[in-house]
Amino acid sequence: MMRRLCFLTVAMLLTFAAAAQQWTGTSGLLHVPSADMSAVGELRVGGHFLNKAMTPDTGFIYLGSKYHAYNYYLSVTPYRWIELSIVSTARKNHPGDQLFEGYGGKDRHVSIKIRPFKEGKVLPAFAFGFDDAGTTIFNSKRSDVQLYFSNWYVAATKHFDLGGNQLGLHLSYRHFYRGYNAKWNGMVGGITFSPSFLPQAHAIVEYTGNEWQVGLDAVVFKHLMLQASLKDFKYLNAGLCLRFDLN
Amino acid sequence: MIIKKNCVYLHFIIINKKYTIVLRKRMTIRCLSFALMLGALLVSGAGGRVYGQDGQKHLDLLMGLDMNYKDIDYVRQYDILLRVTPGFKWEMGNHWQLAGQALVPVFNQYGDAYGRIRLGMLDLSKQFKLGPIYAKGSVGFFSANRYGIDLKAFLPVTSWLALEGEWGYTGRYLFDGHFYASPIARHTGFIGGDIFLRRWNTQLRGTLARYIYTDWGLEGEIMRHFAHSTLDLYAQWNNKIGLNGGFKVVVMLPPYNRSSRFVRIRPTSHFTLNDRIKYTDYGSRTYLTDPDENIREGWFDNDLLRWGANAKNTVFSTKERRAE
Repeated sequence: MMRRLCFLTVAMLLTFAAAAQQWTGTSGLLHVPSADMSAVGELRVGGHFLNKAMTPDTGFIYLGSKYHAYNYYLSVTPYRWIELSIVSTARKNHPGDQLFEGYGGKDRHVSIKIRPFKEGKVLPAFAFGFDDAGTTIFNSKRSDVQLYFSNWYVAATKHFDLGGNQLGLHLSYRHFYRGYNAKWNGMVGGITFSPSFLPQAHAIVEYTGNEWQVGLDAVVFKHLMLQASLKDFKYLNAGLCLRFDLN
Repeated sequence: MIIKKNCVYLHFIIINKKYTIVLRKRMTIRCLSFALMLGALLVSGAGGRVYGQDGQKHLDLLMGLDMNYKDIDYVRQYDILLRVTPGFKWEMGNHWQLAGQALVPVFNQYGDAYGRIRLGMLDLSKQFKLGPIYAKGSVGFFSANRYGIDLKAFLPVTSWLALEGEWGYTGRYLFDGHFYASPIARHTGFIGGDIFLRRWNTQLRGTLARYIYTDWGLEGEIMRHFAHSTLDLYAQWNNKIGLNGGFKVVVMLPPYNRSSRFVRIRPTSHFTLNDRIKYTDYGSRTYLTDPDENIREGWFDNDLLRWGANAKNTVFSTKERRAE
């Protein structure tokens, strides 16, 4: 009886359909982009804990070793075909010769995702996008700037209805600009699954190009979105965000 | 007299008598011109050429939030200045308005200069129509520590095209217990145009402006309007800063259906988040003349002008008065 009550309580808390949250603040999988888009007018404000296994091998090193970081973001979908996000990733600084333990600095970047073709009955949705897009696209002297998260991608997504259960197949080609992120280059993708009894929650399995990552996300209390994942089945990443409908 | 950073302290200490006399003459001329402009504005409602529509009379007691942040420090993510903004708007009818606002610091990492309660705004405004042009004149103390006179004009050419401009003649002031002010000597303003794309509820705006620190520049904006909010992406070129850009998120705050009572207590109409790529204290700065002024609603009351995103649906409405 108690178990049923707990289950019903959780089921009632889960409301609103949710595209999977990504560490960039945009829709997607866990560490892999997809062609899913948030609803028009959706605004997200959130933060994500980034395990050191998730951060680039350069730029997030303090006293010779990598450290866990976190980011915070604001993302929005102004039209049904474009999604924008601005992300600040906290870093530890070396101001002059001094050492400062806290996260005094940050790396800011913009993510853009454009979906020219939405999903049809037969054809999948197609999208392309850029992370760290401001410097990727507009800066001519790339060697002068940090491009820790700079990458571009093309993605395709197709969903299937299996007796009320939703199965999503996602395939992308991704290319990071910096060599220290090259391990995540190439064909990447994953599977999402939403059971019919919890349609607003997603179970996600993906291949990032270098390792496997599994995770869950769900929306509770209408506006709060939660996500947790294990990179390489052992390194925890987690985040939450508030979602608002501007319409 | 103490002269510091182009500001004249009004609690005078006379040191140089000759300079004081010259300055007094200049101040007198400027005060006279200021008074003349104020007088012209005051009598503008009496002439037969003005066709301002009647507005309802209200005294709104307001409370808002002013959030500022800048990233200039190595040891913390942002320096933050958080202030609450109690104020009032007295709509006197016929689109006359007296507005005031105070800035009360709640959390301050901007330094001692921002640690005291200060006057944010206290001005008299009048909205009116001259032929096809909608105009708004204001005199008094504006935001961004400017005082003087301001005139805004808006010309809706079609339902999707409009021209607009603003001219200000101001000086700098600060009132945080002590009062000081520089002479009114600076012309600012902009000219620009708006295109409203109804199908996408999107507004394009381009302006050429001279800002309050004498810099000038060009600005282009894309505003995506929603029912109760607006997203604004903008790019700027400024002769002192160069290229810059950023975004604004304007969220209109409830209640959207306001009471018809004379005295109303409510939050300010909006909260605006403005994030720029390059932070600077002295570039592309402007002032506001109304505590409720925002890019979503424009300058004019809805019963006087409805254009763009406000043409079809307005964010705010007022409940009908009960029959006596």
